[in-house]
Amino acid sequence: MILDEKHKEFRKMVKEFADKEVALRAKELDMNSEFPWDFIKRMAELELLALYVPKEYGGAGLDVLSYAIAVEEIGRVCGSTGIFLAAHSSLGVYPVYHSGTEEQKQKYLIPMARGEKIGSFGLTEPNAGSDAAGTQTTAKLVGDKYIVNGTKRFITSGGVADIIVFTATKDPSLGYAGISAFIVEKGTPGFSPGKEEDKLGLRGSITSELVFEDCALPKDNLLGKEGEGFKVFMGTLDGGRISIGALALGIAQGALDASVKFVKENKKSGRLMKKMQSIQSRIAEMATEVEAARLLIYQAAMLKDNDLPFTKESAMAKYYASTIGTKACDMAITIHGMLGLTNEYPVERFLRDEKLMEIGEGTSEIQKIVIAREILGK
Amino acid sequence: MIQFNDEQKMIQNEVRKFAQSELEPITSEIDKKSTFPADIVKKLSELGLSSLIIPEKYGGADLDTTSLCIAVEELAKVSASVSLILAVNNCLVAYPIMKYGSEQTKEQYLGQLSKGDMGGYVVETGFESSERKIEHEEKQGVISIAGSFDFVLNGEAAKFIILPVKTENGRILYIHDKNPEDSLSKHRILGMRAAGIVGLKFRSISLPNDKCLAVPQESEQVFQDIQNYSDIIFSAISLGIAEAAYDAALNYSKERRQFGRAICEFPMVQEMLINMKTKITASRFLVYDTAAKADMEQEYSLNGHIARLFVSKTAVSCGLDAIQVHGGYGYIKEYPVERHMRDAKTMQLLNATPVDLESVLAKELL
Repeated sequence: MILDEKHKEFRKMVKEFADKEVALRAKELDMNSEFPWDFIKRMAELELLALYVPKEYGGAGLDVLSYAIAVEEIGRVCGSTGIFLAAHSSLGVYPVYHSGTEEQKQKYLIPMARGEKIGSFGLTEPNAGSDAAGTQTTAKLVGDKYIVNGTKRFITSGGVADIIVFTATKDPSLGYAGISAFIVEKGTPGFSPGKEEDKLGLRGSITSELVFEDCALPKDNLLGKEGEGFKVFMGTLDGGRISIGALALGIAQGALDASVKFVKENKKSGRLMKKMQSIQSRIAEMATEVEAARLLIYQAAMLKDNDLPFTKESAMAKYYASTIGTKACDMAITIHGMLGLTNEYPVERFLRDEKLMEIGEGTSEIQKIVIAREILGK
Repeated sequence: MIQFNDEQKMIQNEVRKFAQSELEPITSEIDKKSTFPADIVKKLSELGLSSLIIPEKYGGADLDTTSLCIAVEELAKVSASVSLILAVNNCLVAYPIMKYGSEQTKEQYLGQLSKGDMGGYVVETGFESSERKIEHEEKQGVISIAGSFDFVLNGEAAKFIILPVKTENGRILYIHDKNPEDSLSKHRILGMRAAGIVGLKFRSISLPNDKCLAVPQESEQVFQDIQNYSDIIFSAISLGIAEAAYDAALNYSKERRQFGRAICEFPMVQEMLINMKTKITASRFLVYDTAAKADMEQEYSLNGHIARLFVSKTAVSCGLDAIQVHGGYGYIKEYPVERHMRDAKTMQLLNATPVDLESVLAKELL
């Protein structure tokens, strides 16, 4: 894919940050389950945290394509730092930018965009995963306050976030129509992050429960209109898919890069690995699929940048990139043989990190439903 | 059709009962902490499982290959690490000694194994970067080596280790009694974390002739034979892991409700379950058909390679699909499926990778 000079320059800048800083600590973050506070500070300095948000709101004033490139480049070396960036930008920043009032933008968007505050998004619940309309968390208007009760689960950055956009319903029996979106700040009485998950991968990112117990929120914390929470989260997820797809792409590229390096440097049973057809075949397959995924991701990003419909394309991009990504990571370990099982090489981490991309922000099964609906009609 | 005789059925029942009552409660913890489950292994040894194929004459249980497959399959359904420990003791340690050891060697080492000692086996990665770590020299007919091996199966608990030594004339297979100067290093590996797979670093050790299992003239054929035999048993471990992943996915899909119904009612979930079950069914035939051939002393190497290639791949895809069926819950350690996936991927690469197997298979076919 041919990028213009502006995007090429931008990629170069992020790549340098990724290779010279993030890559050096990626193994450590994974091993020690350490949250990348230092990189968040650096990403704020480099203006990576709200790339497509206008400068007046603290963003970089760039576009979605730049954002996809940034997530890809960081994901290439560290999935945990990549998922932080994706969650903060797409799930924390975006809904406030897109659906917030001017006042909300001033209060919440600007500090998130500048990296002074960490953003997160609470949609998933213990019993409402793919079925987001099954939201059980309730927000009932009592006087001039919403009283929120319920529990969210699997919330990326939930335990460390300062500002969280979340969904709740005024009545679970109403389905989508009952759901509204709200903003809650860390430290609000009645709200606390619950336990953290012990995960297969992305171990440097924090995934937590959010617990609401008679949490009273002022009316001003409603994001968008009452009963339009569905619209807010569908719009958020459409865009979020591009970033999860970009992260899947980045990790797959990382697995490919590691494999190429390994193959060029090693002999197997006396033969140069790069001369072995069984290895060539695998490298060729990985490289082709990674390239195809990149085209799909960039296409979806460019559609969004041009205000064209991109629901189908972003679902396709996320579905494809995560599917071939898991396959590429699996293959990368096979190429490394037993050495690939140890954390002396990054490929086993890549597989553990990559598997989430087929699950988070809509499973592959949900993506297929979205794609089919776009093609076949409702 | 897979048919087990009464004795084999009894073994299946016993091991299954043991796995559920004794192993199930600790399986997640030993994985998380990467601890070698010494107590459990001791109990399993007392039941005869660590010396299952060793002839009675040397104190073993004297059972057949099918029985060994049954035992490791049942154990792997609950703890792949524990299954691997016992599999290695039988197929990579006892087997080469039974087949290639002198009478004296057999009496000594098979006797030790039958008493419950563990034996280790060095697996070579085949990569030059690993191989460069060993130096050997020969003085007055005695070979000594110094350096390190990256992977010793059962290395943590082993009293002695079977290891390959490269010489100008070819490889030699030796038994090395572990000594206090050997230093072990624990890897952090993707899966099989409780199986005691370690790196071994040793100062100059001399390898006297009476500890030699195979000399260069015959060693390639010997290595291949050991590889062939372990293919059957390792396939049975992968089979057990695949079944565990499938069972977990099936149960979860019946319990988990989304959109007002159990997710097992959705065709996309059904498709994953069907794919898993189909491959598992084929895998069981491959494993037990090959084991039966070995028991009847028929040529089995081709079937063994096919089994290993297919079943190990099946286990990886079942592990990944089982996570997918579980969604977010599949990604956390509260559920067993992420471990099944890690164990399956690890199992796929131990001793022979798909790339190695494809090349061996191609040679046999052509």
